[in-house]
Amino acid sequence: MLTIIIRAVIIYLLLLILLRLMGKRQIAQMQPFELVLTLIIADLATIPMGELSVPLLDGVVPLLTLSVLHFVLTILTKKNTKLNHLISGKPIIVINPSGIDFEVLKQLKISVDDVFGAIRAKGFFKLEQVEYAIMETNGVINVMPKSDFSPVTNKDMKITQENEGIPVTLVSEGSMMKENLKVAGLTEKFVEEMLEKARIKKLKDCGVLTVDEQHNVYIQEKNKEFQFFKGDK
Amino acid sequence: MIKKYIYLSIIIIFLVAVCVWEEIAVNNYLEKIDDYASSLQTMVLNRQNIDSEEILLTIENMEEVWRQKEDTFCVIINHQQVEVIGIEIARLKASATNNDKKEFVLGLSAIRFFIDNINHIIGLSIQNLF
Repeated sequence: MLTIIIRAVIIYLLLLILLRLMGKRQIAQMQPFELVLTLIIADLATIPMGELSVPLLDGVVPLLTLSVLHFVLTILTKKNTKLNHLISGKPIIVINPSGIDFEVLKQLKISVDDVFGAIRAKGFFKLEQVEYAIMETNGVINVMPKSDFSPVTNKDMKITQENEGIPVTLVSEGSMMKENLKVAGLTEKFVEEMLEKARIKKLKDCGVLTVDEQHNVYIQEKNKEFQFFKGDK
Repeated sequence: MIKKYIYLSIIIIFLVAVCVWEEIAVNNYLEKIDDYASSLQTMVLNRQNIDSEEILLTIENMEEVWRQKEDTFCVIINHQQVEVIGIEIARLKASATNNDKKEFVLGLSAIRFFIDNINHIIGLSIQNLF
């Protein structure tokens, strides 16, 4: 039994490394060949884990070979658009200003109901609201509404708003994120001052502290309400 | 990205090393066992009594070589396929001690068959690919 445990640990660690190397993708974002690869990897990993008579290498070697192939294919498809289209396909317009392209639906083997479902998922319930609907290579349908049905933006309303930038997390569950301090161009002293301002005694009591480009600070002590301090920038 | 290339190179080197090592292990070690089996076959060919010192010593040497290399084989070959050779060698010893020539010859043939079988499974061939 101990052997099975050790084998499971080895396979788990190996999968962890390989999946990290393959990149971050959700199942819905995967290309068809990536999905197939994930399924094969799952299957390959289980064989030597449970079957003691099968050498561990029988699982490890194909896993590594597949990851090498995937990596090489990713590099090649990035460099060669034609190869990328051959392997992943091309985005295809399923709805154009003239309406649904039934030839394309036939080619993609999807029904009008599938298109309706996809545009409803994007918040459009009438076909006349849609200018274009494009099926991406990963099977997701993206929708571009007609200009009459586009959401109103600040620009449309002629409202000028300062860009606040992305907030950076400086403290997460009591731990200082030192790399993020560098990104925000701040020092530990800033965090200490904020803790004092929010009357949080110790760093470990701080649940979260984020700061944006204007130095607006969102800080929350564990199990307490958050506090917001307007920045000086 | 460079980091990824380094990992990729490490994986490729590892895969090549495993392939080379497997080839060496299977060819060299199995050949030794096959040589022992072959010499035993020659020894018993014209003998009525097979419980001789010479035969027993050869079997013991064969068993020793097998035991030394068995662990290595277990890393690359299904353990059940490795196990059968060990069992046949042990049976060979028993049949030599009991002077059972028929069983002995059958055992030798079985060992050679299993070795050949492993060679077929591990070795690169068109039949294995499809």
